[in-house]
Amino acid sequence: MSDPLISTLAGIVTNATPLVIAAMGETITERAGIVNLSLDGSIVLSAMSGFVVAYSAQQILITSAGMTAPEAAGLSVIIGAIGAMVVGALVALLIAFSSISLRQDQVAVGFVLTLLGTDLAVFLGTNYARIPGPQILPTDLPLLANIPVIGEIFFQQSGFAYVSYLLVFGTWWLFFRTRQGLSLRAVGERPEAAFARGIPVNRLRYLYTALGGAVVGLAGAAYSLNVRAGWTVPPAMGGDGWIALAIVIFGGWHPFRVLIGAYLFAGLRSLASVIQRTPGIEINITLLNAAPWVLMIITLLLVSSGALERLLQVLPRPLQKPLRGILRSDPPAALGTRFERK
Amino acid sequence: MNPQRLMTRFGKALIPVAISLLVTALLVSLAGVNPLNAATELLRGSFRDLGAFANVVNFWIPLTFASIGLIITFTAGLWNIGVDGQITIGAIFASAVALSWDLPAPLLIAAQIVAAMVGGGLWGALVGILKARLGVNEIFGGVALNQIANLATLYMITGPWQPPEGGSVRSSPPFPPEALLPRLSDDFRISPLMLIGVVVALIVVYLALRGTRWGLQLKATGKNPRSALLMGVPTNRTVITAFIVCGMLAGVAGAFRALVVFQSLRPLVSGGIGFLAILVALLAENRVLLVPFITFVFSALLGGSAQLKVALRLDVALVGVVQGILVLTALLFKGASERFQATSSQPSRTATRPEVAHE
Amino acid sequence: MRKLIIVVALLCLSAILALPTFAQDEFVFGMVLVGPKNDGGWSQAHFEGGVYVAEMLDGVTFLEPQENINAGNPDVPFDVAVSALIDQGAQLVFTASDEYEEDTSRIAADYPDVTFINVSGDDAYLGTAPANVGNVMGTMEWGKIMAGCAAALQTETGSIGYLGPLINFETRRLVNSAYLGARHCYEARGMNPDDLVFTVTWIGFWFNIPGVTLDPTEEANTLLNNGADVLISGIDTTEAITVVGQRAAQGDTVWAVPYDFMGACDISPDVCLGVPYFHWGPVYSDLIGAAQAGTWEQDWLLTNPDWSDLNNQDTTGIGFMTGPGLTEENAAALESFIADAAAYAEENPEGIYLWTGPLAYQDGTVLAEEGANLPYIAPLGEAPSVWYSEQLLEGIVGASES
Repeated sequence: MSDPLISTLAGIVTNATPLVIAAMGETITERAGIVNLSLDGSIVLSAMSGFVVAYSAQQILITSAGMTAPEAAGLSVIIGAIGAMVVGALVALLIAFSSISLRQDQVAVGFVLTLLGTDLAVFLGTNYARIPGPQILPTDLPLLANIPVIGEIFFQQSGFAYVSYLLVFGTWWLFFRTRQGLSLRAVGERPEAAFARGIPVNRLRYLYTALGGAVVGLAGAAYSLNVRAGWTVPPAMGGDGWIALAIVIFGGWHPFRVLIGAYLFAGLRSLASVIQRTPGIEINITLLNAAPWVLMIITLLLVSSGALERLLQVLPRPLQKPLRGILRSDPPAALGTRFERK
Repeated sequence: MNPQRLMTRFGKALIPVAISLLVTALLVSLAGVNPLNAATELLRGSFRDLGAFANVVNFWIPLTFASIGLIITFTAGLWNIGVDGQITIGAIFASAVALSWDLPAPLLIAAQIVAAMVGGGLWGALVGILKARLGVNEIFGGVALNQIANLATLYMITGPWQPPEGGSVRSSPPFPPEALLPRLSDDFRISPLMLIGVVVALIVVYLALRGTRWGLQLKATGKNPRSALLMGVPTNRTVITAFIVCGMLAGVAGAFRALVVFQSLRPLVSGGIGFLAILVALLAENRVLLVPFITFVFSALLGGSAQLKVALRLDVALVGVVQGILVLTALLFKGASERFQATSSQPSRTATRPEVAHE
Repeated sequence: MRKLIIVVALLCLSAILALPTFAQDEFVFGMVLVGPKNDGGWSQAHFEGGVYVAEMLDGVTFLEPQENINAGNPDVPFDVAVSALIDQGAQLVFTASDEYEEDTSRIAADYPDVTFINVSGDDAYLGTAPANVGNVMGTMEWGKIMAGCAAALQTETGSIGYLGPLINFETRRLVNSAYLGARHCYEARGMNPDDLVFTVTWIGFWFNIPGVTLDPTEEANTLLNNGADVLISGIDTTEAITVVGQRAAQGDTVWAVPYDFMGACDISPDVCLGVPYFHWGPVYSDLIGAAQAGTWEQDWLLTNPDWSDLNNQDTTGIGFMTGPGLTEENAAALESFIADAAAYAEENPEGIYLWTGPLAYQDGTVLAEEGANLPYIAPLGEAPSVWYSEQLLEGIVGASES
């Protein structure tokens, strides 16, 4: 490892990766008009499932295919990640089913699944806690990794990080450069109009809720198969689901801004340990741990209230418009509401 | 309500219970334990003797306080996930009085409970103001304030209320004897004062929601804030007061956790009771009088969970799973039966909510 | 419905009748643990101690321990766990955490016939505990100076990271001990000890509580990112060696010194320099033997390394198991260091090796003048001691107070 600053920044990218993935999954779902509030529970449940599946796959590969543990690790991680995605999609489908087909409150079902997911994961996963299992290791991306600074920060990461970059770009491409994306956004903004144009609103909502849920499941796998190095009880990723949900709002449902939001939160978290090691700064450690939550309130305050608008008014006029375009954003108009065929 | 409707309603409630029991039994078998064994151990843990039963009551009291508080915010259409933090801040405020004021016992106890209500109310007001005046979604405001409240507890324990021998995070110094609530007897360690308090709170909230102007404003805001505003309901004020009153009740729950359960301030003092209370409120569907029964079942499960762990080595998370599945199946079943009714006969949506007629 | 009630009533009755009973002459003991019994650290070391006793002594029954009794798991309060053990017939209960110190003294008053041993507390030393409460702790300072020494012998970057739990007297004195061991052995390598970088990060608790503590996996990585190539663990769980193993697998040259449990190196043997561990079996046997014979008396007990045979499983209280990661040359150097420590211990039963002046705290307060040996324990405020370490030592990077 080279310069401490660069490796700290690279560490922030590593730690932010599951947040980026989870927030991107939720962005897809919410853009289609459904709130998957269960993120915190979904992530924990899929992290557990991903680890257990990967662990079992590795055992099977070792005993029946005669591979060594390191040889089996790569394939096992991929199988585990798929398992986690299936679990994430199933949880999301439950929300889609209860809100679209059974007309229940999305928030209520999502909240129940938040608690249930965590408890279920702890109950089912007790025997797999703290055992060494397959992990994915960082691999340098050829050429890109050699770029000074940028390469060291972004391209000497694990596969999950590379997937997260592709995911952000892919989501942006889907939203704003494809016909499917146009339909997706129409379903979340003005479902009646979309329906009138022949778009199958509820079918698309099912689809994108499941897709978003699968991506959230992948975030769970990124925790247990990479960033948090295995499965523990209590789950080491608890609470991050809520942060991911807040990042979606902070990011204004736009993939690139969501990405920046995730890096910002991860950076703030690492600040707590940096300050602790800095001589001369006397701040209570416990209070430092509260920083991400305070930031969560402040950022929501900025994007939700008129504060940002008032701030913009102070700036010179030519700057206002482009900045407003970047900073302001409203939720998908039909977010959380039901669509019923009249 | 005629007997036949009562029966169908009872039957409706039974199906989700049966489904969740079945699923739980399956999970327990998966863990290699006979479900019948688990059930007996659970009951034994809750009702074995007066001590065990007192333990159940000591879960029931704070859970009921928090749940009836939540009925208020739910009636106003608000997701007060911050209730757990309101419990925690209530506990901190009560502890502050217990640890620093020198008063005779009755006055000190009164001051502690008032302080807890002030603390919980303030924390609730914060969510309410963020929501009503600044547009911050109450779910996220609540989640963040919950964590901040937990960290505040830890800060008070490791900082200002450090025990004399220093550096520890286990608890504040134990409260002086004057600060503790009197118990019914040494065998049955429950607080009659708090028991009366719960009953009073139940009645007051029931009456307030049913027969006062404020109750009607809460309902109108919950139904449709926009049309409520048009009808002249001060929705912002209603939202904030709903959070404050809920926070005050949650604060009492927090005082109970600190003063009765731990007799000192502990990290994670709420024990997640706020989240459980949300499940209770979802099951009760805004009917205050159902709350004490649901909370009793939940408390019996909680009281027995320790025994499950002790005797059968089943993780306490199992109880959370049971409760979660129960609420989930109840929600799904409600949806399915409404759906079924809607297709078989024209729905009479107002029939299930007779209170609308009063407006 | 009526049938259901009858079935439930019968079930209740049968359950009550089925209370476990033990033969009269069996001596039953149990323990309350903060973590799971297989945590690879602190709790597992206690559990193995109990298993050892059950194997060594006749007529003794070791109850299934109460696991995960801690602040992160408030559904099962300490009192419930203890009374459950006593209901099952426990005559002696180990409460294995400093977290339980005050609760143990409080609940012991309700059960005067049961003997309680609180691990790592000092209520019996201070005289504030009821007569049926004793304390026991190992002089882990010895283990930590060896840990620090091994780390300093092997480091190539001259930078050592210490993953600390919460800040109190115990954790500060353990960090300080590791630092003294590290300085000594760094100098023995022919390096300047003032160049050694020794950084502590406190996560805020004995183990990870999401949302409340810093995440130990993240913090371990951060310490490595900042130049440390050896991590010493001071927390109950195994994140440090797990992370180091992961980093080594991706080609970094890094090592770890885990903590608490003899088998902790097994998680990632190749990067393990060794583990200082508590070995509770022998002292637990003595305590239970005494209680069984009715000769137990309140005491504040310390268990020490068996200097004649550091890893003798029947005699030692504190051991250091050298790990496969330590080079042969360094292992030899560590061995001669341990011999020096043993010689010191022979001569100075009241002190700990290397806790000799000049010593100063982070703020410059002089702790011991040149050549003076610091006593292991002395009443707080009257005289400085190893036990009541009020700050980190001068030269350590990290916070002394939370």
